[in-house]
Amino acid sequence: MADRYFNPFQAIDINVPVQFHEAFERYCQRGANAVIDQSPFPRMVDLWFLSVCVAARLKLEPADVVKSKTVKIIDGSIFSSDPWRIHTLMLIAIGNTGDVQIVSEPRKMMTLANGLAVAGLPKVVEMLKDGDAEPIWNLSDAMDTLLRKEQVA
Amino acid sequence: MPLNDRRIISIILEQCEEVEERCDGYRNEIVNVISDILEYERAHRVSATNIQKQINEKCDATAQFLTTHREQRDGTEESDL
Amino acid sequence: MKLLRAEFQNFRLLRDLELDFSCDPNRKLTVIRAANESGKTTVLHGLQWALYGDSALPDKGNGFRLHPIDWDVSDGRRVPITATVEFEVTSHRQAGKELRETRRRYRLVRSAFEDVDSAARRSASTVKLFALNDSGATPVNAPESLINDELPPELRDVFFTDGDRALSFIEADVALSTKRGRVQRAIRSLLGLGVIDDAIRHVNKAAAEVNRKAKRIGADSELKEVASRLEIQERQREKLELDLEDAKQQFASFDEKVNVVDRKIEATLQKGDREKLATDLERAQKEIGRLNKQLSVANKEHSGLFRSQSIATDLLAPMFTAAFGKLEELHDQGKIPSTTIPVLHDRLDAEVCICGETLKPGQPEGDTRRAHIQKLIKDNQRADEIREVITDLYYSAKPLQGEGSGTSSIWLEEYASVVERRDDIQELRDEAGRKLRALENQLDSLPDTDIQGLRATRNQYKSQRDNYLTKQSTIETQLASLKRDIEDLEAKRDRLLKEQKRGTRILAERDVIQDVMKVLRSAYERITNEELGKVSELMNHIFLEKIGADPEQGAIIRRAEISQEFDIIVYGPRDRTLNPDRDLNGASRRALTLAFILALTKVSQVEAPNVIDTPLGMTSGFVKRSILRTAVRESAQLILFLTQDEIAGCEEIIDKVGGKIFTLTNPALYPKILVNDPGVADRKVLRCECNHREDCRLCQLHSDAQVELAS
Repeated sequence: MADRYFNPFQAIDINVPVQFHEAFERYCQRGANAVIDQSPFPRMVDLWFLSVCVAARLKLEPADVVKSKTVKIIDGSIFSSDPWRIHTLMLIAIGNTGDVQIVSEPRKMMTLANGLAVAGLPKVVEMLKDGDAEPIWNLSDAMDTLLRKEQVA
Repeated sequence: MPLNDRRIISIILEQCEEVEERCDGYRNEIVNVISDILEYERAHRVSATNIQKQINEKCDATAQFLTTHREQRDGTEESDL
Repeated sequence: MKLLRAEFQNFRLLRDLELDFSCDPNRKLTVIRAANESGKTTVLHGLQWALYGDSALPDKGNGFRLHPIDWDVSDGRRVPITATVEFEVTSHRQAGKELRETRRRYRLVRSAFEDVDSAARRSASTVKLFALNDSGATPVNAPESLINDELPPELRDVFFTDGDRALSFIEADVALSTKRGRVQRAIRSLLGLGVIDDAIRHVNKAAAEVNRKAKRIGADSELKEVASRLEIQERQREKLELDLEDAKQQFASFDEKVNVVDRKIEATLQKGDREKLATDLERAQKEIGRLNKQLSVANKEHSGLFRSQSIATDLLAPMFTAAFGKLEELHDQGKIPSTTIPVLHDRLDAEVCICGETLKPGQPEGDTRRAHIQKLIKDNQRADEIREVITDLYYSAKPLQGEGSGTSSIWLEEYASVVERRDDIQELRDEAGRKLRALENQLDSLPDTDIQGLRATRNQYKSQRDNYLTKQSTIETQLASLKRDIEDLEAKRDRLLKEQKRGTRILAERDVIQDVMKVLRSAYERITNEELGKVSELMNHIFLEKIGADPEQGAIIRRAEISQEFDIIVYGPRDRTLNPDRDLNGASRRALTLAFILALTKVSQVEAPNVIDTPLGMTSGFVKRSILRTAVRESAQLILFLTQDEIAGCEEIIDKVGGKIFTLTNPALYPKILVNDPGVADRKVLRCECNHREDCRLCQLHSDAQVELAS
C-alpha cells in the first residue's frame, strides 16, 4: 500500500547548506558496521526529518536556504515508503502557513520544511553533542527533557 | 663440655653393665676405652687427628690388659692345679 | 649454654648496640620489642656471626656486606666490625662414677675489617675467647671447638629460629627425604648420636686391623689363608655397604622426583581440566554472541526511536492541533470530504437526479440536465483535486492526530522501555564478559604442561626408583650371605688363632673391640629409640597444648609424632595422617615446629638458648598466649623478638615471666611509623628501656602504623 501511495514530493531533491554535511556524515549510520551509539540516525532523512520536527516544535523561523551553498542529501522519493511523513510535512505546512491550499504546492511545502530543517539542525546537533555520554544518549536525554518540559508547560 | 654428654655417658655406663667381666676390672677398662674414644671423636671434629691410630692403640692397650689378666688368671689356675 | 650479653659495633644497622639477656631461671624470657625493619634479623645474624663466623651468614657471607651502608668514609675506608657475646656454660664432668656440674662464663669477641666500596671485601674474621672470672678475663685457646661443642653449627636452626625458616622441618615443597634428613640431623646432633656413629665406624676399622694382625702371624699356614679371605670378604662387604648406601640415596632421590611430579600433576588437576575449561569458554563465547545480537537489536530499537512516528507526533502535537483545526473547519463546512464529483458521476450512471428528475440520455430533458451536470463536474475538477488531497490527508492523518493529542508522550514511554531493555541486556553482556575473562585467565594460568607427559615422566622416575629398590634388596641379600661367610671365617680364624702362641693376644683385642662395639651399638639404639620416643612424646604434648584452644584446628588434629624414620607426622581423626602444609593453618604449623625445637632441646637436656624471631606471627588470642606460655616453660632460656602486634594480648604473661624487656628502634622509620623525630643522622638501631607496656619519645609508633606493621 505504502509504495503505491501518491507522493507529492517524489521529484523534489532535498538540499542542505554544506556546513551541515559533516553532521549528516557523522550522525547518520553509513554502512553495516556503523556504531549506533555514535550515529543514532539510520538514514540521513531521519536526521533531516527530526530537525524539521524540532524546529516546528520550537517554533523556529524557517531558514532561507536559497542564499546558501547547498548539497543534496536526499530526494523526495524516499518519503514513498513512509506515507505518514508525507502527511506530517503537509500538516506542518498547513500549521505553519494556516493555508490548506498549500497542499497543492509540493515545492512550497518542501521549501518550508527544508527551511525548518536547516533552522532545527543546529539545535539537534547541539542535542547530540551536549552531554557526557555518546551522542545517542545525549540526544535521548535532550528529547526527554524537551518533551517533558513542553508537557508540563 | 660436649653437648648432651651427660645423657650419653649415663646410657653408655648402663650399657657397659651388660659387658661380660672377662677379667677383674675389665668392665671398667671398657668404660674408659669408650670414654676416651668419644673424647677422641670430639677432638677429631675440631681439628683433624689420626683418630684411627688412637683408637687402634687404645683397643690394643686394653687387649694387653685383658691378655695380662688372663695369663695371670691362667697362671693362677695352672698353679692351683 | 645461656647467653648473657651481646654487643655490636658497625655490624650493619647495629653501629653501637648492647643487648642483655635474662638468666634468671624463674624469669627466663627476654623480650626484645621491635617493629618490622628495626634490626631484628640483623641482631639474629649478628649473634650467629659472632658464634660461627661467615658460614652463618646468608650465602655463607659471600657478597654480604657487614659495615653500615651509610658509613662516612671520612671515618676511614676500612671499617672495624666487632661482635661480642658473653655466655655461661654449665658442664658436667665425670669424676669416677660421679657427674660434677660446673658453671663458667666466657666472652667471645669476633672482629673483621671491611673495605668501604661496592665489593665490601673483608678480612677473615678473628675470634678470641676469654674465660671470665673474678680476677678478670683469661684467654682460652681454640674457641671454635668450645662453640662447636656447645652450640653445634648444624643446630643453628634449632637455637636461632626465624619464625618462617623454622618451618623447614615440615614444609611440603621439599621431598620427604630432605625433611627427614633435616629432622634426623637435628635429632642426632642434639642427642649426640653423631659422635657415637663416628666411633662405631672407627672401631669397625680397628676390627679389620685385628684380622691383619692374624694374617701376619699366620705365615704360610691355613690361618693366613683364612685371614686373607676374610680381608677380601671385608673389603667386599665395605663395597657392598657403599653400594647399598648409594642405592638408598638414589632411591630417595627418585622418590623425591616422583613426589615433585606428583605434586605438579595434582596442582595441574586442581587448577582445572583444560578441556572442560575450553568447553566452558566456548559456551561463554556463544552466550556473548547471543547477547551481542540482542544488544544490537536493542541498539537499533534505540536508534529507531529517532525516526519513529511517535517522536514526530509528540514533537509536533501543537503544530498538528493547528493544522487539524483547519481541516476540521473545512470538514464542518462540508468542503471535505470531497464528494461532489463522485456523487454527480453516480447520478449520471444511475440516470436519475437527486431531485428525482430523469437523466436518461436520448431524452431532451435528460440530455440538458446531463450536460449541466457534466459542466458542473468540469468546473469542480480543479477545486476537487485540492479537496481530494485534503480529504485524503484528513482521513489518513487521523492516527497522527490521535496519538499526538494526548497529554502523555508515547515516545517517552517507548524510550523508557528501550532504555530498560538495553540496560538489562548490557548488564547480562557485562556479566558474561567478566565470566569469559575469568575463564580465559584460568586457562592462561594453567601450567603449560600436559598431564599425559607428566604422567609419563612420573612413570619413568617411578620405574628408576623401583629399580633402585630392587637393587637395594639384592645388595641386602648379598650382604646377609656375606656376613654369614664372614662369621664362619671369623670362627675358623679364631679357632686357628687359639692354636697360635701369639693368637691369644689377638683374640683379646678382638674381644675388646667386640665389647666396645656392642656397647656403642646398644647405646646408639637406646638413645635413638628412647630419646626419639621422648622427643616425639614431648613434641606432641607441647603441640597439642599450643593448639588445643584453637577451635578450628583442635577438631581435626589428634596428635603429632616423630616416626622411627624421623618423619614428623600429624594425625587427624581415625589416625588419618594430615599434611602439615595443607591441612594445618599457619599458626598450627608454627606451633608444630616450635614444639619440635623445644622438645628436642628439652629431651637432650642441653641447656641452650632459643632465640626466635617473630614466633607469634599469624597467631592470635588464646592460641598465641598458649604458644608463648609453653615456649617459656619448655625452654632453658627464651629470647624473643616481638612486634607490638605480637605482644598484644600477651602482656600479662610477659609481666610474669619476662626477665629482661627492652625496645629497639630504627630512626629511619620516622616519620612514617615513628611519631617523633629521633634526631639521629646515622642509620642505626637504638635501644630504649621501654618494656612491653611503655612508650617513650624514641619508640612511640603511630597507632595506625601498628596496624600497618601488623598486617
